[in-house]
Amino acid sequence: MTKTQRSGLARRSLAGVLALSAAVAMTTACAPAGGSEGKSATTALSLVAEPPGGMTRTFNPFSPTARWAAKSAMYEPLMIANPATGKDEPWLATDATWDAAGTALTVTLRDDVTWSDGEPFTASDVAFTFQLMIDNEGLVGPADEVLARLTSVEATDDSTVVLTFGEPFAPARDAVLAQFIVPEHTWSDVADPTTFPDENPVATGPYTVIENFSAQMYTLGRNPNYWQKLEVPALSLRSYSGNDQISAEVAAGNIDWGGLVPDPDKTFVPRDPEHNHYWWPQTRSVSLQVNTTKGALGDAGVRRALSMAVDRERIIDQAVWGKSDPANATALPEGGFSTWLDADVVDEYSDAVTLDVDAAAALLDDLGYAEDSDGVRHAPDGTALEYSIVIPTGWSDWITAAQVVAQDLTAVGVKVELQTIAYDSWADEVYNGEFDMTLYGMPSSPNPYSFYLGAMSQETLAPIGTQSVVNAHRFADPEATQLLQDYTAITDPDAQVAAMAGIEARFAELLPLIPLYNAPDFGLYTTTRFDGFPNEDDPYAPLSLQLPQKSLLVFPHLRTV
Amino acid sequence: MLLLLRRLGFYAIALLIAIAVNFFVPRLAPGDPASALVAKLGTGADQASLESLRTAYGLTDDPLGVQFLQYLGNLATGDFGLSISRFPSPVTEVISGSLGWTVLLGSVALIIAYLLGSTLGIVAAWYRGSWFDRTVPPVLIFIGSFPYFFLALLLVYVFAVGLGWFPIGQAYSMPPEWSWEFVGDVLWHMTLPVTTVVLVTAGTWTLNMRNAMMSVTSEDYLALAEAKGLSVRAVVFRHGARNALLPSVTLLGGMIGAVVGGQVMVEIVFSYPGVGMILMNAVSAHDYPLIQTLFLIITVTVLAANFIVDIVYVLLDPRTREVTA
Repeated sequence: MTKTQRSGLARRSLAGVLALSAAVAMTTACAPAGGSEGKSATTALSLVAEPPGGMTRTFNPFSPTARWAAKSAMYEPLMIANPATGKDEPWLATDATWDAAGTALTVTLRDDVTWSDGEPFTASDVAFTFQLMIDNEGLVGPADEVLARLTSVEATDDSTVVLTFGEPFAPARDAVLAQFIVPEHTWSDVADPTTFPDENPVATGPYTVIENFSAQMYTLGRNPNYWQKLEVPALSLRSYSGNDQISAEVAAGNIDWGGLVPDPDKTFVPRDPEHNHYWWPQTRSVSLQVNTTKGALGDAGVRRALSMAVDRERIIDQAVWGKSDPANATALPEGGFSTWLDADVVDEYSDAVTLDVDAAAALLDDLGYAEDSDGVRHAPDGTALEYSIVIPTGWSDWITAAQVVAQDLTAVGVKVELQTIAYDSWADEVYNGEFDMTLYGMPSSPNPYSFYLGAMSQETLAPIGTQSVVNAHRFADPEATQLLQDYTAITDPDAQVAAMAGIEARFAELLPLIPLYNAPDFGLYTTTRFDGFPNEDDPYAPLSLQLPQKSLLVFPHLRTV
Repeated sequence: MLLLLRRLGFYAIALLIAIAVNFFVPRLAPGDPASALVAKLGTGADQASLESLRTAYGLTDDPLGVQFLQYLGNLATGDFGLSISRFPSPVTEVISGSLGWTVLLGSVALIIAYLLGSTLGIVAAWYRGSWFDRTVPPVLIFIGSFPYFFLALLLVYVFAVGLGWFPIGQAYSMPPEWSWEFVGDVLWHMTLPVTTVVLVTAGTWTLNMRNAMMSVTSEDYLALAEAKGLSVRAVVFRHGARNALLPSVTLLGGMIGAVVGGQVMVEIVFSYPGVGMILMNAVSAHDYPLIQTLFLIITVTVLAANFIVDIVYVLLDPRTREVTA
């Protein structure tokens, strides 16, 4: 082979081989472009409610990892506590009344409800559901916390159920009414309700027909037998890949309801001011949670001083784009708890949650926590007031809030350092009581009782090293415990409110948790296809899709544009 | 044959060690599945629900050793348990729903990378010293030295977020059905993930094939083939490349392992619904049954691939058969 031959061949076939390689590459690059919308996107209401990462077909409402729709579009509760109005909305039940002794709760049911398969809904379904939860310990539902107190559940006729308790326990009413009901005629055949996937649910709710299901998306059709009028024909739910994809889909106008976009006034509304709306009502508060077993943090005076040293407005500006209000000393936001909140208590303790750095410093001085030359305060026994505040990695609003807290407290001589740690480690440390400070998000609840029970009752106190979700700060006060105990025996609504005022005052005085700001319930919607969503002008229900069951209040109001 | 038996024994021991590691390591991390879930649910979780969950998930305080023996017993009967993060779906169901996507993505990427990389390697070896040989293999090796997630993020940033030519993630965006439209949708979603894997791995194939070809090109039979007047294509591919294939068969075993590992990152970046994605979710949810089974599958795949390569190697190369113990 000569040199010229070789190079001549080289040029020709090199080009040929390159073309071949390019062709191979093209098979990956040149796939036809598909549409980015589902087929039914024009008629189905698309919601952002499912978590990212793919879905399995489980609609068992007793499993916390079941599909969102199980508790929010399929199975319905007896009543729905409406945080937007502060009322219990009659749902499958029209009425629930305690007897004079406060031990028997009589629940009256609607008589016009049928299951999605056409069978009538009756009191025996309700009794069956509670009995099922008693018999199967692994079932998770709102009624969990009162099952141990329940002595009997009895359907006295087709539309009446009587629940009997061993002793008066008024908070049981909320837990019982929030319980979703499953049909006896299908669930009685289920061998193990705990591991039952419930792939084709029979329920009373608005959207029970699974039209299609895959790991990334599913479509639900209307329940033909629903007891209310529904105009929206179908719901479309997707497991989005993450916030980036949600933002892109929101921007493209493919989402009708839900999703979080940062700073909506700048990034969302201006895209289509006529149709793009958001509403962030405040129904829960975020508090600074300090481990009360750690020296000075166990001192109510110190906690009050810390509370006065924090600039709440700055937290709100930086963490939630200024779209919220500072929390009051009871930690109860007016939005969710208007019936319970005592204005006098709020007034009396307003100083405790108002920024006053000088007063905070003076209070710490008076309590004997003197500052050394480095600007760090020390307890009378010599220990320095140095703490870390731990927040899970990536929880950006909490991290921002904790930064402000750390700066403000350090400024008054209580040295606080922010640490972000992996979520699992955070949960482990905080729930076992092995932390100094963190933030605490109040659970969504119709009644402040369970919040205060977790905040300061002997009943929820567990030793360090034992997991406690609600009382991780390890605080119990005998007087508060007694007030909460007394409250449980009261069944008259007005007397309940009066008793709760005393509990609120005790909380504001002791500050077992230091209330910071009200957390907005993020919600947004677009009215290009559907209308009738709750908003500031018509606050008939919460807009957030993250509160289970609440969307049931919204579906009957929605209209096709 | 003795060689294969010895290899088989080695794989059995490796598998046992892997099962033990898969069982104990996830449990050494702080936290447990029930509390991870309760905290994630945030609203409405209370102590009573936590206890219910522990019961439902079968979480016990038995010593780990006892739990391990129970796990081995269940494995022996083919019982992989129920997923905790997707309770009450069986682990096998969760995985079977995602395994197909991983196999699809992995095999397509591996085949394209192999064909493309090897072809470029053959060309580079044949025209050694040319501008092609001096630029293509080094550039590919340079690209291949980037971590998977970096290239994946780069592609997402440029082609999905910036230019909008391809989707940001996931495997499809319409309800699955047997239609050309859906197939197109799947291919469209696959493009960037496949390209990532191809870019990272192609260089290894190129270099490997180029080196193997180099040693073959100096053989006399190639000169003879060329002297017979055969076309260049026949000389290069039928006579040269075929004899240079052996080392790339060996490489295949290792590459399957590397692709399985790297693809986990690619799936996470692209939210591709394969086992890599599931694995990440399972780890963050402390879903022990799911983590164990996924690692088991990955281990078995890599071991099986290597074993098959051993067999193929014996079949392809008569010399290995003569090796005596």
